[in-house]
Amino acid sequence: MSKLIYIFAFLFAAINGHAQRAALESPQAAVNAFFKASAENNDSTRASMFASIFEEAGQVNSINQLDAQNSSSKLGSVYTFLDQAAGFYKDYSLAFDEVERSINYYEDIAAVHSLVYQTVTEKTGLKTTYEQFLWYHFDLIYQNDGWLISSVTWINAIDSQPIDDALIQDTIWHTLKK
Amino acid sequence: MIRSTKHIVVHASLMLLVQAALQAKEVSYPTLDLMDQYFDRSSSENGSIDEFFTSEAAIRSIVYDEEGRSIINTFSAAAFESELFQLRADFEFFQEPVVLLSQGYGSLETFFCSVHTRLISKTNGDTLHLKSVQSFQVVNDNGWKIHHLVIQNENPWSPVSEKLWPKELTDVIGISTPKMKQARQESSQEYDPNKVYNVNELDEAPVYPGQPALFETLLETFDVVLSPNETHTPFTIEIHEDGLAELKYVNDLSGPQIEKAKNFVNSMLIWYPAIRDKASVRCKLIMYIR
Repeated sequence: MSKLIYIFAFLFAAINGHAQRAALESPQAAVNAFFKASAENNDSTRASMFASIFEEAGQVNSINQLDAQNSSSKLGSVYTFLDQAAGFYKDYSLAFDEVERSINYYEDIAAVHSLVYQTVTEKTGLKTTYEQFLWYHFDLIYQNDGWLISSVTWINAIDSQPIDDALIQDTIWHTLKK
Repeated sequence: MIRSTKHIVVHASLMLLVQAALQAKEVSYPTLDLMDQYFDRSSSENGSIDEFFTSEAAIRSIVYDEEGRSIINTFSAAAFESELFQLRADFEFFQEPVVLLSQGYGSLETFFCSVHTRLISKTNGDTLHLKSVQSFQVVNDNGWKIHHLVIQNENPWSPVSEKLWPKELTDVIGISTPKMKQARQESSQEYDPNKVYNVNELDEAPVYPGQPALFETLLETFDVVLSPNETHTPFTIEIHEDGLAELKYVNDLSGPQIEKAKNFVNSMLIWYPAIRDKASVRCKLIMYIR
């Protein structure tokens, strides 16, 4: 029987406390805060905003879909992202218009899908503007009286495949073993 | 000549059919294959799952402290695998997805799914069934891999929805052990499955898992006692036939006491259920909270 403790040590075991974060009362609020932070020009303000909406070991991942077959990805922590994106933010300003959002949730976890129209504008020179659709997937966890992002991954639209496809949800029933 | 032409045509047609059949077979769903492989491998005795994750992958499980607050445990793929290996030393571990909600585009695919987990003790054969909801982020980074996984075990206060746990699928696995089911069938005339029994009507009272100190610590944490006294107020909990505890009669408790009692019950592990006539039955326990 004592081994049952071990099961829960694996499946439920409590370990560490966590630093205080902003209390975002819904997954929606956390996602809104993320886009606001992502559009923030000031590096330290942006870093502070990200720190307040991400779980301690939060992930920020981007996938650059080149065509139907090829892509490259950058997978890493919030801090890696902030560090690596600083140069980009120096040259460009970003704006996000969310087109559609959906959510799956159970208890203290939520998965949010968001279709976003992103505008990137050069800060100097010709101030050229670039636009694209992106699909974002967020994993969120409720902790310390608020929702925190544990991972976000986004991917850009390509011409040969409508990005709307990303919002179509397939339901798959798995045949269970007795 | 005609015959041989016909033969060639038939042969060519057959070849085309075979080719078409082969092509049809080649239509694959790599992300579903990955999920199948992950669940199969994690359920096999010595299976390694490390290869199904990216090198930066994070696996998070939600746990709760004594006051019901959620705490996030984060594992690397290697650490998660190590946990599985340790678990397998004492249990046969089996898990499979039930319903998967899938969305994808290009090199990103996500699965929000319900999962059935079965743990069979290697020492006494006791079986524990668990439900969980898990969220997967899967990326194609030199091959499809799991990059992020969040595991939320079922909260008995808030069962997994019918959408993620449809009866049509899950009736086949049930929630009790086969032993219990058999016992129930054998003694179907001798007990009432709908009745909530008092302890004095049972052959065996429900047992809290683990060492007695574990339960004592839980009682102390929430200032709950098992015998009446002047400072504590009575309330009842029900231990269901599957071992899940549920808070029942709380009418004598104040608001804060009810909250405390809720957290107390939420913090409980799954009990060994009460036994009557060789079958697991529902049982009522009276406790007292300050």
